[in-house]
Amino acid sequence: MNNTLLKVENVTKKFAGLVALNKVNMEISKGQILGLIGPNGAGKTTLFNVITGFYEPEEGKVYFRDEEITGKPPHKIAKLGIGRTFQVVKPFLGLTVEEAVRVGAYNHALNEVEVEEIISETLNFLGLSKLRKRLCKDLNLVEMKLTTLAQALAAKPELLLLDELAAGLTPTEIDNLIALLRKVNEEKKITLCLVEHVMHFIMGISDYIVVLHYGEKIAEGKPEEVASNEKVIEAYLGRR
Amino acid sequence: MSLELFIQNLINGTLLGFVYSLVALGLALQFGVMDIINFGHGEFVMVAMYLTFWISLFLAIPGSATVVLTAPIFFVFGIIIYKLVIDKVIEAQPLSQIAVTIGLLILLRNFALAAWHAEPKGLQYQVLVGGFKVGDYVISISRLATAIVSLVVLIVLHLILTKTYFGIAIRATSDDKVAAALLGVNVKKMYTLVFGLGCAIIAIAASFIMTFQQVEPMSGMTWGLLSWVIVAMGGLGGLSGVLAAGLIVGIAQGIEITFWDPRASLAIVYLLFILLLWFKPKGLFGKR
Amino acid sequence: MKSSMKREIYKQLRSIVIISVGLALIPPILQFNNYFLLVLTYILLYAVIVSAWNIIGGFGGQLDLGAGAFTGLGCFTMGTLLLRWNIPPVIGVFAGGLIAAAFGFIIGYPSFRFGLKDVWYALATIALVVVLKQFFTVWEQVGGPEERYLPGTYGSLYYLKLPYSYYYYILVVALAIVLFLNVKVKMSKLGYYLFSVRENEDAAEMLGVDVRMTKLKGLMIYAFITGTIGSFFALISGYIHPTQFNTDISLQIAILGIVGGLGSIYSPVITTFILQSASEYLRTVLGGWIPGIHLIFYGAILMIIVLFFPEGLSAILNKVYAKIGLFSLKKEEKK
Repeated sequence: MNNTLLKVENVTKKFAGLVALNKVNMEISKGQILGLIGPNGAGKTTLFNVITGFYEPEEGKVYFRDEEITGKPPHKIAKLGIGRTFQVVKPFLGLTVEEAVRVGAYNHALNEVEVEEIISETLNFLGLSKLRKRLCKDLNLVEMKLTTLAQALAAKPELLLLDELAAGLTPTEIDNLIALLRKVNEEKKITLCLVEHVMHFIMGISDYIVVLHYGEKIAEGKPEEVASNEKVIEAYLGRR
Repeated sequence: MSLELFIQNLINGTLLGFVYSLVALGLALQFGVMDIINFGHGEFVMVAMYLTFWISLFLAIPGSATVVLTAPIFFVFGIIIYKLVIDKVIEAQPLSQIAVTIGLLILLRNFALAAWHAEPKGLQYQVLVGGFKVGDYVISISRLATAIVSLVVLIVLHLILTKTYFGIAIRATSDDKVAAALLGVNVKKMYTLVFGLGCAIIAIAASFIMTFQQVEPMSGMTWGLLSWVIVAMGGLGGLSGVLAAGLIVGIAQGIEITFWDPRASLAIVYLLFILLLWFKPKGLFGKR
Repeated sequence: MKSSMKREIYKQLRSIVIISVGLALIPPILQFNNYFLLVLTYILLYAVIVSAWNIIGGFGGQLDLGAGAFTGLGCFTMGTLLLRWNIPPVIGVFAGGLIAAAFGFIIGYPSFRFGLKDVWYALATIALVVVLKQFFTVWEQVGGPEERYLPGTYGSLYYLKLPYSYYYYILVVALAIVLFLNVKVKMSKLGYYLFSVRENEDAAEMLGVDVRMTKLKGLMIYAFITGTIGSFFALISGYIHPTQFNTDISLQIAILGIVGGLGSIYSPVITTFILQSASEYLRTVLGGWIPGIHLIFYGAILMIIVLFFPEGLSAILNKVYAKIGLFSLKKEEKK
């Protein structure tokens, strides 16, 4: 059996002549927690946008479960089973938590009964049940982040891309988040791919790490391997 | 369709195009720098046209000479409107800006109706009348004068924007208001002045439009929509874009009038506009 | 869970029935003469269209200014079918709705495909109104600059040439239907998808929402209703004319929807009744003295509401609802 869930093959993406991604290859296996790191402007979010169909790459292909998804619109990709949260946390501010999660739940539910089940189950799972009727704009940062996570989970993805979910959180909150994401990974069998700046977070949770720098993949491997990689240290700290 | 008629219509269309650019210029400046969506722009033009009419009538001076008064008056008018209305929605979402300026539109239009009634009004005192012949073609003096004024205002504005501290501050604010603020530009003051300046330009345009057109309370709708068409077409920031877009609209109308019904000349322009929004969302000359 | 939804719908139905019965009783109780009845009928006409606009504008957040195009298409489709082929308005009004919906598709599909938003979508739709107005002025076989009077003798049901009271009661029923449609949409997948589009399109896409299709559905429902109901402008006045492609209708409908409060079901309708009646009252009292004065107040009130009550009148009305215990949608406070 093929264990690869997502395969990025030779992807190149340019903006007005600037190369944002240069022949990037990446594979994510089923059940993995993969960390995608790199300094600012390395192309991490661009890669997410290519995978989820917001950008069409100039070159290269993206496969999900052996099916090519390059150039498909985001909502179709979401239907196929890829979920995503955004760098700037934007839950639906004018809706209640329950309503915001409901939008995600419609992705796979067949009827209203199932929708209700998914909402309750997801909110319970993330400990948000108390906030059910609260308007999203009245939530604090952690609650907002959890709500966007709940929305994504309600859509029942197989692969979930998380863009800087830990940004702005305190160390304690990050530890809680790590525990929660592990639970998502283990209990819900959802493969995770995280873009992150907070090293403590990414090193603490990832099974495997891919490093981007100026649109190119410069290293990959287990966290401890990557951490001691010359090129990576150079990319982060500058040439010495 | 004779060739002569076609060329005559092209000449008229081109001259009209300069006027369109001038009318749209105030809007382009305000929208480009401040990101404010003013749906009442056409009504500003309409009110300025009335102002020209009344000043010309009371002082018994030609309409074109009233700019000396209408431009400063409208500069102040712009600042008042900014302080009373625009400033409160400058950071708001587009929807609120549109709603508030539609309110302004309804208010100004009906103020005109209440104060000056529905009958169209034209200038009593004119110096820019008649036309002269170039070969077989007639060139209207009022339109030619208006075209020249449009060009002069465009050039002056270009010089202000590129050569003066004020102009550079405007462009800095337009590019990145946070950075501009950090560099010591008083953004709010800049907005106030830009809105006033935009309104002064509207007044200049209106005074000269009056030399070949009458004004009525409903005049605003056409000028407003046309200006938005030109701003959309010309992209933002570039004065040359506004000029080119104005000319394109004017010439397109000239062509339409030659080959089809003059009553549908705006329909063609707006149809082009809708197509442009779909296929060239960044305007004909990039950047939006 | 299912039963709680049923209960909610019953509650809404009760509110709608109360509104409808109330509206139905106004003319006989207040002993309205023809003039008042006509005024109220026009207000009702606006209310129905505002309520339809709420689906694309309030739920979906798209600033549509195409109402004048759809009402005009409704008038001309119904009128032309009647004038040319003697097809009764009972069929004609719905044909008008279909044509309007088709035009909704024609303008909406590319606009959403190419991602027109905010002011640009608003401008594209209001430009459509002017384009259609001028085309119908030039297209002399169907339109032309002269009024075309609708045939039929007064009192004929076939030609729907009826006393105002008939139109009034038809529109009361129409309002009830459109309000109920609002409730149904709001509580359905389409409603939640429209909300998500209004809140954040990218995030919505990533949850599996086909943003383009969602907007298009909302737009076409609204266009159909506006075309159908808009043809009453022609029925009431008795003729068709290109001025029925009216940009003022576009602006008024949108602004009543915004001022009423985006996304709430009853507030835009109630706002329409309050503001239009006030405006009409001012017109009768002051209009003969100074023309347009009522609309000066109208414009001023709109500006004041948007500037000082950014949530719209629904924020205030919701408190009133709570007091009188009516209309209280569980999820009324949307925005």
